[in-house]
Amino acid sequence: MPEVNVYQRMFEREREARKQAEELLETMSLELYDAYSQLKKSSDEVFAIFRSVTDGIVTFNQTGTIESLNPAIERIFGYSENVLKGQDIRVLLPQNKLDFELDDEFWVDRCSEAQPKFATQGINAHGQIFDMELSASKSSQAGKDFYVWVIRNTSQIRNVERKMAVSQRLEAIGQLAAGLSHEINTPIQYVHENVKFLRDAFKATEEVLVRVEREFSSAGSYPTPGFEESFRQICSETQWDFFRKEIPIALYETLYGSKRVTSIVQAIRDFAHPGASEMSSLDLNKAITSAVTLAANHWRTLGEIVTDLDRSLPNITCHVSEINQVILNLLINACDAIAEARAANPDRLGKIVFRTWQEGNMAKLSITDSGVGIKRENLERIFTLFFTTKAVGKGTGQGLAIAHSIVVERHNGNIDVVSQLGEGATFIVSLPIQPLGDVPPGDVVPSGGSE
Amino acid sequence: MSSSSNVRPSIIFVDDDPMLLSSTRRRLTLVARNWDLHFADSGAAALEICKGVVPSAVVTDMRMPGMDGAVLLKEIQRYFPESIRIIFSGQTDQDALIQAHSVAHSILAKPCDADQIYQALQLSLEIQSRLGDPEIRRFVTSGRTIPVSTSSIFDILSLLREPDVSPKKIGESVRNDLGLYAYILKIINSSHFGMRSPVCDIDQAILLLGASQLRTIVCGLKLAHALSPTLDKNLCTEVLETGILRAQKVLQLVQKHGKPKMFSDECYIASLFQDFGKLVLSVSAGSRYLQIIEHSRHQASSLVDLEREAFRCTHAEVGAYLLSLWSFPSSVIRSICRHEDLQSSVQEEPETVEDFVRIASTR
Repeated sequence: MPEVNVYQRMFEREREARKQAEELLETMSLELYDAYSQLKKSSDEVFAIFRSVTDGIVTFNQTGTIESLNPAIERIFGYSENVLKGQDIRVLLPQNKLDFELDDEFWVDRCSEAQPKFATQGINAHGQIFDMELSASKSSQAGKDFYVWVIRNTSQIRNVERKMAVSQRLEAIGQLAAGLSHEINTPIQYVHENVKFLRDAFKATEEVLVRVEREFSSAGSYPTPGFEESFRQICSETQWDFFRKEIPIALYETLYGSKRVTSIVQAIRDFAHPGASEMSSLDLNKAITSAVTLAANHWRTLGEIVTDLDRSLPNITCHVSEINQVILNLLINACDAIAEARAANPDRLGKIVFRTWQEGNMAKLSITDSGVGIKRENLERIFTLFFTTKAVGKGTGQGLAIAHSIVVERHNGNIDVVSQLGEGATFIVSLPIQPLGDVPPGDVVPSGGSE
Repeated sequence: MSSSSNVRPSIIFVDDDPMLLSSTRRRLTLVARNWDLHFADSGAAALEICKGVVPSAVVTDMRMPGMDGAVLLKEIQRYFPESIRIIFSGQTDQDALIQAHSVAHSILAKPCDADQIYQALQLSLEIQSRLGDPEIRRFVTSGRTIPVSTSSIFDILSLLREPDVSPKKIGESVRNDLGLYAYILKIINSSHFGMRSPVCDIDQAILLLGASQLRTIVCGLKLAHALSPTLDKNLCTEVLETGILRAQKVLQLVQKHGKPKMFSDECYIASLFQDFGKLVLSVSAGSRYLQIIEHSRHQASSLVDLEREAFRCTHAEVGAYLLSLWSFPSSVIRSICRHEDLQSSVQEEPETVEDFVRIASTR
């Protein structure tokens, strides 16, 4: 029965093959199971992370419809997941933020490498507006684009930053306080001395008058022939010529001194301005003159200050006390750089040049010093908080960082530095004359607060 | 330069503010008629004036462009050691001012009357004109050496190193060194500390200064002055102990008359520092002065006569001079300056500090 044998062998082979296939299948399904378990585990992990991070994450499609969100979004905005899903992403933004399009240009502009996140504002379920930091990214899945926003509520951080800025302003004024008392003491000294002189001068004048009167009354209604002689005698005894020459000068100097004190007090008042929440109008040129007055004792022994100010520069709308602070910080920084240069070489003349000019809708201010300059490797770091190359006790490394934050974040301006080591440095500040559309908030209601 | 009193003293005022100079000139023209006044708007200009005039005193602002006040006074100290050096400043940086004390005899704070400047300086100039020996005059005015003993400097510094040292303990230590005692009073009574009335109580002075400023002062002394090796220990003890005895007698007397604390404080230091000039002379003339003291013990002639013969002035005048430079109250200066003047009669009813100290000393 060869045929039976053949079938037998065939069957055997089939069975063998089937067994192998079954084994293979089992191995594969085991692998698949493992892979699935792995996948589920990591997806659970990702989901858990997604749910537990304190930053809010929200995704939406090309039309702006919200597809998913994490509990942090619920916490930050006060809406529940069910309510938000399917809503337009714009419900999370206050009225004035709705003007952007969700097109590519927006992402390219806002989320370039250089600026992966930006500060803006959100609005919560109770209608309260708060500061937030937003980083956005765009992905594609199955040929469809979708967007991810990561949102952080920064109103608390903002408050801390603002407090720091205020305390730094006080520190800057404190640095000036000792110098200011000198600035005020000097005119007070000569005003005081001149008033005492004028008191003596009045006594002399009185004496001259009384004696002349006596001459008249003893001589009748008109002077006797000897009157001229006795008048000369009176004048010489009372030092009248001296007083007559000195009185007008003393008066002039007294007025000058009191004007000087007034201008110093005015400058202090400008700078101590309690940082109103609303923007108001500021004459940048005047602000520079005030800063120069305030810091006079700081720079007078170092060299000279030259101001080359564009008198036709329009007033800018800004947070006045903050911009004053920026100018003062830059000026103190320039003085310190010159002092450092002069410590190494006392003959080196110090010079600070302030310039203002207009460029389109921007007001520009530059301050150039003949100080030590900035090392190339430090150029990028000088605006970092607490970065300082100064000796302990000479600076806390807050001045420039706060200047940067005020100009860039609060005013949508720009601050640049150009420096050649050993040659000095120039800081250039650009500020919009009128605030741009995206105005940083004046006073922020922290989330959870009441309006 | 002649020391006779009929020569008009030349005073140079230095300030970079033209208005300040102008107002000072105007007032002093009326107040200080016996002075030759010179005005300079910078340290360099002041030194230029010095080429033609030997200054009796230089009164300078502290902060000026170019050469600052302290640097100018160092130059003056170097080239004109017998010129009186005063800082007239509107500055409020206490540490810088305390450091300036090592070169300035006194520091006047702006605002300050021209009359005040005149009175303070005029008293010193008057006493200075009585110091007949130019060497002594130069030595005392230069201020390079002041009668503070090295050991008390180190004692105070080690005390200040202890974490919780009490002001009382520091006070006890300072009391043992008349030179240091006077020097601390000089600083606390400088007008930049803004005391309404002179501080004569050393404990109060130490409290007001605090440990860190005290350290600055003592370190400054250590650095700025070549501490005198000729300060005789026995003489120091003698001057100190007789001073304390006299001061206690004066206090009893003053208390009997029910005088206010300010007055009794002044009497106290006037009697305590009565012989301070002996220490000043001993650092100025060294062993020569010790020999004179020795002679006066064995010979018939009095110490004062021997001093006059050797130095053309007495320790009373020398002590009063240095303390007047250090802005001690004028009542105290007068009492010290005249304490050897036997012709002054004792009042039946004592009134001034001088009267009280004189009575206490003769009893």
